[in-house]
Amino acid sequence: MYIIIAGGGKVGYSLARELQGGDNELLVIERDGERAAELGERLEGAALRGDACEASVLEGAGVRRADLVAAVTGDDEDNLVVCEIARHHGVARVLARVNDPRNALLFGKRGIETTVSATDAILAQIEQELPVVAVVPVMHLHEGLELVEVRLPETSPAVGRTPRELLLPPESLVALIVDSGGVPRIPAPDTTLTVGDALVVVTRAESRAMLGEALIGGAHGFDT
Amino acid sequence: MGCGRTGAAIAERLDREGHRVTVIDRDASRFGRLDGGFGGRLAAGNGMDMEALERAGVREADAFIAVTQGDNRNFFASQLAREVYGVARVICRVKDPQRGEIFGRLGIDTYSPTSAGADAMIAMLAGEAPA
Amino acid sequence: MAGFRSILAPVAPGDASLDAAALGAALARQAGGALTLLYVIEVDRRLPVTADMELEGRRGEELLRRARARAEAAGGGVTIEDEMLQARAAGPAIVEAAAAREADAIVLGVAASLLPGRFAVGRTAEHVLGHAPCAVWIARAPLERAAPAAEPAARP
Repeated sequence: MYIIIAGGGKVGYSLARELQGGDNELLVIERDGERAAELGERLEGAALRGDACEASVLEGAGVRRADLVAAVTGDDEDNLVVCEIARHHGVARVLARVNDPRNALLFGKRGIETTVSATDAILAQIEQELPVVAVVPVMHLHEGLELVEVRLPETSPAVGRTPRELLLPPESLVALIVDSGGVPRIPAPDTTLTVGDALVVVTRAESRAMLGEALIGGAHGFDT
Repeated sequence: MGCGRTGAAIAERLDREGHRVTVIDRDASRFGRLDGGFGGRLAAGNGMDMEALERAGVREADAFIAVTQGDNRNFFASQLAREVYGVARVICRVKDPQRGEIFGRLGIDTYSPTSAGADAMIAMLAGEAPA
Repeated sequence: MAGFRSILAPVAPGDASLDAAALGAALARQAGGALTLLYVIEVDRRLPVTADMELEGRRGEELLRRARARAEAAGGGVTIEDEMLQARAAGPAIVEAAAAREADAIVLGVAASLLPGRFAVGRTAEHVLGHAPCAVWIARAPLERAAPAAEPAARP
Protein backbone atom coordinates (compact mmCIF):
# COMPACT_ATOMS: atom_id res chain seq x y z
CA MET A 1 0.00 0.00 0.00
CA TYR A 2 1.35 3.44 -0.92
CA ILE A 3 0.51 6.13 1.60
CA ILE A 4 1.26 9.82 1.15
CA ILE A 5 1.21 12.02 4.21
CA ALA A 6 0.97 15.75 3.60
CA GLY A 7 2.51 17.68 6.48
CA GLY A 8 5.58 16.58 8.39
CA GLY A 9 4.84 18.12 11.78
CA LYS A 10 4.49 16.08 14.94
CA VAL A 11 1.33 14.39 13.71
CA GLY A 12 2.69 13.58 10.28
CA TYR A 13 5.92 12.25 11.70
CA SER A 14 4.39 9.99 14.32
CA LEU A 15 1.93 8.71 11.77
CA ALA A 16 4.78 7.93 9.39
CA ARG A 17 6.66 6.13 12.12
CA GLU A 18 3.65 3.96 12.87
CA LEU A 19 3.03 3.09 9.25
CA GLN A 20 6.57 2.55 8.06
CA GLY A 21 7.73 -0.97 7.55
CA GLY A 22 6.02 -4.09 6.31
CA ASP A 23 4.68 -3.83 2.80
CA ASN A 24 3.86 -0.16 3.08
CA GLU A 25 5.50 2.44 0.99
CA LEU A 26 5.33 5.79 2.61
CA LEU A 27 6.11 9.37 1.76
CA VAL A 28 5.86 12.50 3.88
CA ILE A 29 5.61 15.78 1.99
CA GLU A 30 6.84 18.75 4.01
CA ARG A 31 7.06 22.37 2.94
CA ASP A 32 9.90 23.43 5.22
CA GLY A 33 13.28 22.43 3.76
CA GLU A 34 15.07 21.90 7.04
CA ARG A 35 12.24 19.88 8.51
CA ALA A 36 12.01 17.81 5.32
CA ALA A 37 15.72 17.01 5.54
CA GLU A 38 15.34 16.01 9.17
CA LEU A 39 12.39 13.77 8.31
CA GLY A 40 14.42 12.21 5.51
CA GLU A 41 17.09 11.25 8.02
CA ARG A 42 14.59 9.83 10.48
CA LEU A 43 12.37 8.05 7.95
CA GLU A 44 14.94 6.36 5.74
CA GLY A 45 14.55 8.92 3.02
CA ALA A 46 10.75 8.76 2.87
CA ALA A 47 10.38 12.53 2.85
CA LEU A 48 9.94 15.02 0.06
CA ARG A 49 10.37 18.75 0.29
CA GLY A 50 7.50 20.59 -1.31
CA ASP A 51 4.06 22.11 -0.99
CA ALA A 52 1.51 19.31 -1.22
CA CYS A 53 -1.10 21.89 -2.23
CA GLU A 54 0.64 22.24 -5.56
CA ALA A 55 -0.73 19.78 -8.05
CA SER A 56 2.71 19.26 -9.59
CA VAL A 57 4.26 18.30 -6.25
CA LEU A 58 1.62 15.67 -5.57
CA GLU A 59 1.92 14.46 -9.12
CA GLY A 60 5.69 14.10 -8.78
CA ALA A 61 5.18 12.22 -5.55
CA GLY A 62 3.26 9.62 -7.51
CA VAL A 63 -0.17 10.52 -6.17
CA ARG A 64 -1.84 8.62 -9.01
CA ARG A 65 -0.67 5.32 -7.62
CA ALA A 66 -1.29 6.23 -3.97
CA ASP A 67 -3.80 4.12 -2.05
CA LEU A 68 -4.30 6.68 0.67
CA VAL A 69 -3.50 10.36 1.08
CA ALA A 70 -3.64 11.77 4.59
CA ALA A 71 -3.53 15.55 4.92
CA VAL A 72 -2.36 16.36 8.43
CA THR A 73 -0.94 19.87 8.30
CA GLY A 74 -1.87 22.40 10.97
CA ASP A 75 -4.05 24.36 8.53
CA ASP A 76 -7.49 23.08 7.67
CA GLU A 77 -7.65 24.98 4.39
CA ASP A 78 -4.43 23.31 3.23
CA ASN A 79 -5.73 19.90 4.28
CA LEU A 80 -8.92 20.46 2.30
CA VAL A 81 -6.99 21.46 -0.79
CA VAL A 82 -4.62 18.48 -0.56
CA CYS A 83 -7.57 16.11 -0.30
CA GLU A 84 -9.39 17.70 -3.22
CA ILE A 85 -6.32 17.57 -5.45
CA ALA A 86 -5.60 13.99 -4.44
CA ARG A 87 -9.15 12.95 -5.29
CA HIS A 88 -8.88 14.81 -8.56
CA HIS A 89 -5.93 12.54 -9.35
CA GLY A 90 -8.03 9.49 -8.61
CA VAL A 91 -6.96 8.64 -5.07
CA ALA A 92 -9.77 6.56 -3.61
CA ARG A 93 -9.12 7.24 0.04
CA VAL A 94 -8.33 10.63 1.42
CA LEU A 95 -8.35 11.66 5.00
CA ALA A 96 -7.92 15.04 6.65
CA ARG A 97 -6.94 16.16 10.09
CA VAL A 98 -9.23 18.94 11.29
CA ASN A 99 -7.58 21.42 13.58
CA ASP A 100 -10.79 23.31 14.26
CA PRO A 101 -13.49 20.70 15.00
CA ARG A 102 -16.19 22.98 13.57
CA ASN A 103 -14.61 22.53 10.16
CA ALA A 104 -15.49 18.85 10.19
CA LEU A 105 -18.87 19.95 8.80
CA LEU A 106 -17.39 21.24 5.55
CA PHE A 107 -15.13 18.23 5.09
CA GLY A 108 -18.16 16.03 5.65
CA LYS A 109 -20.11 17.89 2.96
CA ARG A 110 -17.22 17.31 0.59
CA GLY A 111 -17.22 13.62 1.46
CA ILE A 112 -13.80 13.70 3.07
CA GLU A 113 -13.29 11.66 6.17
CA THR A 114 -11.85 13.68 9.00
CA THR A 115 -10.28 13.14 12.32
CA VAL A 116 -9.00 15.15 15.22
CA SER A 117 -6.53 12.45 16.21
CA ALA A 118 -5.12 11.62 12.81
CA THR A 119 -2.91 8.76 13.84
CA ASP A 120 -5.70 6.89 15.46
CA ALA A 121 -8.20 7.26 12.66
CA ILE A 122 -5.80 6.62 9.84
CA LEU A 123 -4.68 3.42 11.45
CA ALA A 124 -8.32 2.45 11.80
CA GLN A 125 -8.94 3.31 8.15
CA ILE A 126 -6.26 1.07 6.80
CA GLU A 127 -6.44 -1.74 9.25
CA GLN A 128 -8.48 -3.93 6.94
CA GLU A 129 -5.42 -4.19 4.78
CA LEU A 130 -2.84 -3.84 7.47
CA PRO A 131 -3.14 -5.82 10.66
CA VAL A 132 -1.99 -2.99 12.83
CA VAL A 133 -1.60 -3.66 16.48
CA ALA A 134 0.26 -0.79 17.89
CA VAL A 135 0.78 1.68 20.61
CA VAL A 136 -0.56 4.80 18.99
CA PRO A 137 0.65 8.14 20.30
CA VAL A 138 -2.27 10.51 20.71
CA MET A 139 -0.72 13.51 22.40
CA HIS A 140 2.59 14.62 23.82
CA LEU A 141 2.31 15.83 27.38
CA HIS A 142 5.17 17.65 29.08
CA GLU A 143 8.34 16.21 30.65
CA GLY A 144 8.58 13.22 28.29
CA LEU A 145 5.12 11.97 29.15
CA GLU A 146 2.71 11.08 26.41
CA LEU A 147 -0.81 9.90 25.98
CA VAL A 148 -1.08 6.73 23.89
CA GLU A 149 -3.88 4.50 22.78
CA VAL A 150 -3.71 0.72 22.62
CA ARG A 151 -6.50 -1.48 21.33
CA LEU A 152 -6.38 -4.90 22.95
CA PRO A 153 -6.03 -7.72 20.41
CA GLU A 154 -7.13 -11.30 21.06
CA THR A 155 -3.60 -12.22 21.97
CA SER A 156 -3.31 -9.53 24.62
CA PRO A 157 -2.09 -10.77 28.00
CA ALA A 158 -4.23 -8.01 29.53
CA VAL A 159 -7.56 -9.52 28.42
CA GLY A 160 -9.51 -10.92 31.36
CA ARG A 161 -7.57 -8.90 33.90
CA THR A 162 -8.27 -5.72 35.75
CA PRO A 163 -6.15 -2.61 35.16
CA ARG A 164 -4.61 -3.11 38.61
CA GLU A 165 -3.28 -6.53 37.65
CA LEU A 166 -1.41 -5.25 34.64
CA LEU A 167 2.37 -5.09 34.72
CA LEU A 168 2.76 -1.61 33.30
CA PRO A 169 6.07 0.23 32.91
CA PRO A 170 6.92 2.72 35.67
CA GLU A 171 5.04 6.00 35.65
CA SER A 172 2.33 4.55 33.43
CA LEU A 173 -1.36 4.83 34.16
CA VAL A 174 -4.51 3.66 32.39
CA ALA A 175 -6.53 6.86 32.19
CA LEU A 176 -9.52 5.74 30.17
CA ILE A 177 -11.03 2.61 28.67
CA VAL A 178 -13.15 2.88 25.54
CA ASP A 179 -14.99 -0.36 24.81
CA SER A 180 -15.53 -1.71 21.31
CA GLY A 181 -18.93 0.02 21.24
CA GLY A 182 -17.24 3.37 21.74
CA VAL A 183 -18.37 3.86 25.33
CA PRO A 184 -15.72 5.47 27.54
CA ARG A 185 -15.23 4.40 31.14
CA ILE A 186 -12.92 5.50 33.92
CA PRO A 187 -11.07 2.33 35.03
CA ALA A 188 -12.47 0.95 38.30
CA PRO A 189 -10.87 -1.75 40.50
CA ASP A 190 -13.35 -4.36 39.23
CA THR A 191 -13.19 -3.41 35.52
CA THR A 192 -12.28 -6.48 33.48
CA LEU A 193 -10.55 -5.79 30.20
CA THR A 194 -11.90 -7.44 27.07
CA VAL A 195 -10.80 -7.83 23.48
CA GLY A 196 -11.30 -4.65 21.46
CA ASP A 197 -11.08 -2.32 24.42
CA ALA A 198 -9.07 0.78 23.61
CA LEU A 199 -6.93 1.81 26.54
CA VAL A 200 -5.81 5.39 26.77
CA VAL A 201 -2.61 5.31 28.78
CA VAL A 202 -0.30 7.96 30.15
CA THR A 203 3.26 6.71 29.85
CA ARG A 204 6.81 7.81 29.25
CA ALA A 205 7.84 8.01 25.62
CA GLU A 206 10.69 5.55 26.14
CA SER A 207 8.35 2.98 27.68
CA ARG A 208 6.24 2.46 24.59
CA ALA A 209 7.77 -0.89 23.68
CA MET A 210 7.41 -2.17 27.24
CA LEU A 211 3.82 -0.99 27.34
CA GLY A 212 3.20 -2.81 24.08
CA GLU A 213 4.48 -6.05 25.58
CA ALA A 214 2.16 -5.67 28.55
CA LEU A 215 -0.94 -4.81 26.53
CA ILE A 216 -0.44 -6.43 23.14
CA GLY A 217 1.90 -9.29 23.91
CA GLY A 218 5.42 -10.23 22.93
CA ALA A 219 4.43 -11.89 19.66
CA HIS A 220 3.96 -8.55 17.97
CA GLY A 221 7.09 -6.78 16.91
CA PHE A 222 7.62 -3.10 17.24
CA ASP A 223 9.53 -1.71 14.40
CA THR A 224 9.20 1.83 15.57
CA MET B 1 -13.71 38.35 1.70
CA GLY B 2 -10.30 40.05 1.78
CA CYS B 3 -10.01 43.83 1.75
CA GLY B 4 -6.88 44.13 -0.36
CA ARG B 5 -6.71 46.29 -3.46
CA THR B 6 -8.86 43.94 -5.50
CA GLY B 7 -11.35 43.30 -2.71
CA ALA B 8 -11.74 47.01 -2.01
CA ALA B 9 -12.19 47.84 -5.69
CA ILE B 10 -14.85 45.15 -6.14
CA ALA B 11 -16.68 46.26 -3.00
CA GLU B 12 -16.71 49.92 -4.01
CA ARG B 13 -18.00 49.22 -7.47
CA LEU B 14 -20.73 46.85 -6.45
CA ASP B 15 -21.75 49.31 -3.75
CA ARG B 16 -21.99 52.12 -6.29
CA GLU B 17 -24.10 49.91 -8.51
CA GLY B 18 -26.59 49.64 -5.68
CA HIS B 19 -25.86 46.18 -4.27
CA ARG B 20 -25.79 45.50 -0.56
CA VAL B 21 -22.14 44.73 0.09
CA THR B 22 -20.36 43.41 3.19
CA VAL B 23 -16.57 43.29 3.32
CA ILE B 24 -14.95 40.77 5.66
CA ASP B 25 -11.28 40.90 6.58
CA ARG B 26 -9.42 39.57 9.60
CA ASP B 27 -7.38 42.77 9.75
CA ALA B 28 -9.78 45.67 10.39
CA SER B 29 -7.08 48.24 9.57
CA ARG B 30 -7.40 47.24 5.95
CA PHE B 31 -10.89 48.67 5.74
CA GLY B 32 -9.04 52.00 5.41
CA ARG B 33 -8.50 51.05 1.77
CA LEU B 34 -12.18 51.66 1.02
CA ASP B 35 -13.02 55.17 -0.06
CA GLY B 36 -15.08 57.44 2.19
CA GLY B 37 -18.22 57.01 0.11
CA PHE B 38 -18.45 53.26 0.64
CA GLY B 39 -21.92 52.56 2.01
CA GLY B 40 -21.62 48.83 2.71
CA ARG B 41 -20.99 46.93 5.93
CA LEU B 42 -17.61 46.10 7.40
CA ALA B 43 -17.12 42.84 9.27
CA ALA B 44 -13.82 42.21 11.02
CA GLY B 45 -13.17 38.48 11.20
CA ASN B 46 -11.69 35.43 9.58
CA GLY B 47 -13.67 34.39 6.52
CA MET B 48 -12.79 30.77 7.18
CA ASP B 49 -14.57 30.92 10.49
CA MET B 50 -18.23 29.99 10.25
CA GLU B 51 -19.27 32.28 13.09
CA ALA B 52 -17.56 35.24 11.47
CA LEU B 53 -19.20 34.43 8.14
CA GLU B 54 -22.59 34.22 9.81
CA ARG B 55 -22.05 37.54 11.57
CA ALA B 56 -21.24 39.00 8.18
CA GLY B 57 -24.59 37.73 6.92
CA VAL B 58 -23.53 34.85 4.69
CA ARG B 59 -26.93 33.20 5.15
CA GLU B 60 -28.65 36.02 3.25
CA ALA B 61 -25.95 36.44 0.61
CA ASP B 62 -26.64 35.89 -3.09
CA ALA B 63 -22.97 35.99 -3.99
CA PHE B 64 -19.64 35.41 -2.27
CA ILE B 65 -16.27 36.55 -3.61
CA ALA B 66 -13.00 35.39 -2.01
CA VAL B 67 -9.97 37.52 -2.83
CA THR B 68 -7.50 37.15 0.05
CA GLN B 69 -3.82 36.55 -0.66
CA GLY B 70 -4.14 32.83 0.10
CA ASP B 71 -5.38 30.47 -2.61
CA ASN B 72 -6.27 27.80 -0.10
CA ARG B 73 -8.03 30.22 2.23
CA ASN B 74 -10.08 31.52 -0.68
CA PHE B 75 -11.01 28.01 -1.70
CA PHE B 76 -11.87 26.94 1.82
CA ALA B 77 -14.11 29.94 2.43
CA SER B 78 -15.72 29.53 -1.00
CA GLN B 79 -16.54 25.92 -0.22
CA LEU B 80 -18.03 26.98 3.11
CA ALA B 81 -20.20 29.56 1.35
CA ARG B 82 -21.35 27.07 -1.25
CA GLU B 83 -21.60 23.78 0.61
CA VAL B 84 -22.62 24.92 4.08
CA TYR B 85 -24.55 28.13 3.36
CA GLY B 86 -25.81 27.44 -0.14
CA VAL B 87 -24.71 30.78 -1.59
CA ALA B 88 -25.79 30.78 -5.25
CA ARG B 89 -22.81 32.52 -6.84
CA VAL B 90 -19.34 31.88 -5.47
CA ILE B 91 -16.23 33.31 -7.09
CA CYS B 92 -12.76 32.45 -5.88
CA ARG B 93 -9.43 33.99 -6.80
CA VAL B 94 -6.67 31.41 -7.20
CA LYS B 95 -3.20 32.56 -8.22
CA ASP B 96 -1.88 29.08 -8.98
CA PRO B 97 -3.45 28.19 -12.35
CA GLN B 98 -3.10 24.43 -11.82
CA ARG B 99 -4.93 24.61 -8.54
CA GLY B 100 -7.48 26.96 -10.07
CA GLU B 101 -8.30 24.47 -12.80
CA ILE B 102 -8.95 21.71 -10.30
CA PHE B 103 -11.10 23.96 -8.11
CA GLY B 104 -13.02 25.00 -11.19
CA ARG B 105 -13.91 21.40 -11.90
CA LEU B 106 -15.26 21.14 -8.39
CA GLY B 107 -17.93 23.66 -9.25
CA ILE B 108 -16.31 26.81 -7.90
CA ASP B 109 -15.94 29.69 -10.35
CA THR B 110 -12.27 30.52 -10.18
CA TYR B 111 -10.33 33.43 -11.54
CA SER B 112 -6.60 33.13 -11.96
CA PRO B 113 -4.86 36.52 -12.17
CA THR B 114 -1.70 34.69 -13.24
CA SER B 115 -3.26 33.10 -16.32
CA ALA B 116 -5.36 36.17 -17.09
CA GLY B 117 -2.31 38.42 -16.84
CA ALA B 118 -0.25 36.16 -19.06
CA ASP B 119 -3.06 35.99 -21.64
CA ALA B 120 -3.48 39.76 -21.65
CA MET B 121 0.20 40.43 -22.12
CA ILE B 122 0.52 37.89 -24.89
CA ALA B 123 -2.45 39.51 -26.58
CA MET B 124 -0.81 42.94 -26.26
CA LEU B 125 2.34 41.54 -27.76
CA ALA B 126 0.35 40.31 -30.72
CA GLY B 127 -1.05 43.80 -31.11
CA GLU B 128 -4.59 42.90 -30.13
CA ALA B 129 -6.60 44.82 -27.64
CA PRO B 130 -6.54 43.18 -24.18
CA ALA B 131 -9.55 40.98 -23.60
CA MET C 1 45.57 2.25 6.57
CA ALA C 2 44.97 -1.45 7.00
CA GLY C 3 44.08 -3.31 3.83
CA PHE C 4 40.93 -2.42 2.00
CA ARG C 5 39.86 -5.95 1.25
CA SER C 6 36.37 -5.13 0.11
CA ILE C 7 35.84 -2.03 -1.95
CA LEU C 8 32.66 -0.59 -3.38
CA ALA C 9 32.83 1.75 -6.35
CA PRO C 10 29.53 3.29 -7.46
CA VAL C 11 29.22 3.83 -11.18
CA ALA C 12 27.62 6.83 -12.82
CA PRO C 13 27.98 8.58 -16.19
CA GLY C 14 31.20 10.55 -16.53
CA ASP C 15 34.92 10.07 -16.27
CA ALA C 16 35.14 10.58 -12.53
CA SER C 17 33.43 7.30 -11.75
CA LEU C 18 35.78 5.51 -14.19
CA ASP C 19 38.68 7.00 -12.23
CA ALA C 20 37.00 5.80 -9.05
CA ALA C 21 36.69 2.28 -10.46
CA ALA C 22 40.39 2.28 -11.35
CA LEU C 23 41.36 3.63 -7.93
CA GLY C 24 39.14 1.07 -6.23
CA ALA C 25 40.72 -1.76 -8.21
CA ALA C 26 44.22 -0.57 -7.34
CA LEU C 27 43.36 -0.38 -3.64
CA ALA C 28 41.79 -3.84 -3.71
CA ARG C 29 44.79 -5.25 -5.50
CA GLN C 30 47.13 -3.91 -2.84
CA ALA C 31 45.17 -5.68 -0.12
CA GLY C 32 44.45 -8.80 -2.14
CA GLY C 33 40.79 -7.97 -1.95
CA ALA C 34 37.81 -7.60 -4.24
CA LEU C 35 36.01 -4.75 -5.94
CA THR C 36 32.30 -4.35 -6.43
CA LEU C 37 31.00 -1.97 -9.06
CA LEU C 38 27.52 -0.72 -8.24
CA TYR C 39 25.02 1.01 -10.46
CA VAL C 40 21.91 2.43 -8.84
CA ILE C 41 18.83 3.16 -10.92
CA GLU C 42 16.96 6.00 -9.30
CA VAL C 43 13.26 5.35 -9.74
CA ASP C 44 10.90 8.32 -9.85
CA ARG C 45 8.16 8.25 -7.21
CA ARG C 46 5.54 8.14 -9.94
CA LEU C 47 6.54 4.49 -10.32
CA PRO C 48 6.89 1.72 -7.77
CA VAL C 49 10.53 1.22 -6.84
CA THR C 50 10.34 -2.26 -8.34
CA ALA C 51 9.11 -0.99 -11.72
CA ASP C 52 10.62 -2.47 -14.86
CA MET C 53 13.30 0.03 -15.89
CA GLU C 54 14.49 -1.54 -19.09
CA LEU C 55 16.15 1.46 -20.72
CA GLU C 56 17.86 2.55 -17.53
CA GLY C 57 18.97 -1.02 -17.00
CA ARG C 58 20.63 -1.17 -20.40
CA ARG C 59 22.38 2.10 -19.74
CA GLY C 60 23.54 0.75 -16.38
CA GLU C 61 24.94 -2.36 -18.00
CA GLU C 62 26.90 -0.28 -20.47
CA LEU C 63 28.30 1.95 -17.73
CA LEU C 64 29.21 -1.09 -15.64
CA ARG C 65 30.94 -2.63 -18.65
CA ARG C 66 33.05 0.49 -19.19
CA ALA C 67 33.89 0.75 -15.50
CA ARG C 68 34.90 -2.91 -15.42
CA ALA C 69 37.26 -2.41 -18.34
CA ARG C 70 38.98 0.47 -16.51
CA ALA C 71 39.08 -1.48 -13.26
CA GLU C 72 40.54 -4.57 -14.90
CA ALA C 73 43.27 -2.50 -16.49
CA ALA C 74 44.17 -0.99 -13.11
CA GLY C 75 43.57 -3.98 -10.88
CA GLY C 76 45.56 -6.71 -12.63
CA GLY C 77 43.62 -9.84 -11.73
CA VAL C 78 41.66 -8.46 -8.81
CA THR C 79 38.19 -10.00 -8.40
CA ILE C 80 35.54 -7.65 -9.79
CA GLU C 81 31.83 -8.08 -9.30
CA ASP C 82 29.09 -5.86 -10.49
CA GLU C 83 25.66 -5.12 -9.19
CA MET C 84 22.69 -3.09 -10.27
CA LEU C 85 19.80 -2.12 -8.04
CA GLN C 86 16.79 0.18 -7.98
CA ALA C 87 16.17 2.76 -5.30
CA ARG C 88 14.55 6.15 -4.77
CA ALA C 89 17.93 7.80 -4.23
CA ALA C 90 21.45 6.60 -4.98
CA GLY C 91 23.04 7.83 -1.73
CA PRO C 92 21.15 5.66 0.75
CA ALA C 93 21.31 2.69 -1.64
CA ILE C 94 25.11 2.96 -1.84
CA VAL C 95 25.41 3.17 1.94
CA GLU C 96 23.13 0.18 2.37
CA ALA C 97 25.04 -1.87 -0.19
CA ALA C 98 28.33 -1.01 1.54
CA ALA C 99 26.92 -2.10 4.89
CA ALA C 100 25.46 -5.32 3.45
CA ARG C 101 28.82 -6.28 1.89
CA GLU C 102 30.77 -5.09 4.89
CA ALA C 103 32.82 -2.98 2.55
CA ASP C 104 36.00 -1.46 3.96
CA ALA C 105 35.79 1.52 1.67
CA ILE C 106 33.61 3.27 -0.86
CA VAL C 107 35.40 5.01 -3.69
CA LEU C 108 33.19 7.64 -5.21
CA GLY C 109 33.87 9.73 -8.27
CA VAL C 110 32.65 13.31 -8.30
CA ALA C 111 32.77 15.84 -11.10
CA ALA C 112 34.85 18.96 -10.68
CA SER C 113 32.90 22.16 -10.36
CA LEU C 114 32.49 24.31 -13.42
CA LEU C 115 33.07 27.34 -11.24
CA PRO C 116 36.72 27.41 -10.14
CA GLY C 117 37.03 28.00 -6.42
CA ARG C 118 33.57 26.70 -5.76
CA PHE C 119 32.77 23.10 -5.04
CA ALA C 120 29.52 21.47 -4.21
CA VAL C 121 29.82 17.77 -3.63
CA GLY C 122 26.34 16.78 -4.85
CA ARG C 123 23.57 15.07 -2.95
CA THR C 124 24.73 11.50 -3.52
CA ALA C 125 28.29 12.11 -2.34
CA GLU C 126 27.01 14.24 0.51
CA HIS C 127 24.77 11.45 1.72
CA VAL C 128 27.51 8.84 1.40
CA LEU C 129 30.04 11.03 3.25
CA GLY C 130 27.51 11.65 5.99
CA HIS C 131 26.26 8.10 6.45
CA ALA C 132 28.67 5.43 5.21
CA PRO C 133 29.86 3.14 8.00
CA CYS C 134 33.18 2.52 6.23
CA ALA C 135 35.94 4.71 4.81
CA VAL C 136 35.00 6.92 1.88
CA TRP C 137 37.42 7.99 -0.82
CA ILE C 138 36.45 10.75 -3.17
CA ALA C 139 37.97 10.80 -6.64
CA ARG C 140 37.49 14.19 -8.22
CA ALA C 141 38.06 14.58 -11.93
CA PRO C 142 40.88 16.96 -12.87
CA LEU C 143 39.75 20.51 -13.55
CA GLU C 144 40.75 20.55 -17.21
CA ARG C 145 38.41 17.65 -17.81
CA ALA C 146 35.54 19.54 -16.33
CA ALA C 147 34.86 21.41 -19.52
CA PRO C 148 31.18 22.28 -19.97
CA ALA C 149 30.83 19.45 -22.50
CA ALA C 150 31.65 16.77 -19.91
CA GLU C 151 28.75 15.03 -18.29
CA PRO C 152 28.64 15.40 -14.52
CA ALA C 153 29.97 12.24 -12.90
CA ALA C 154 27.95 12.21 -9.73
CA ARG C 155 24.26 12.87 -9.79
CA PRO C 156 23.48 16.47 -8.94
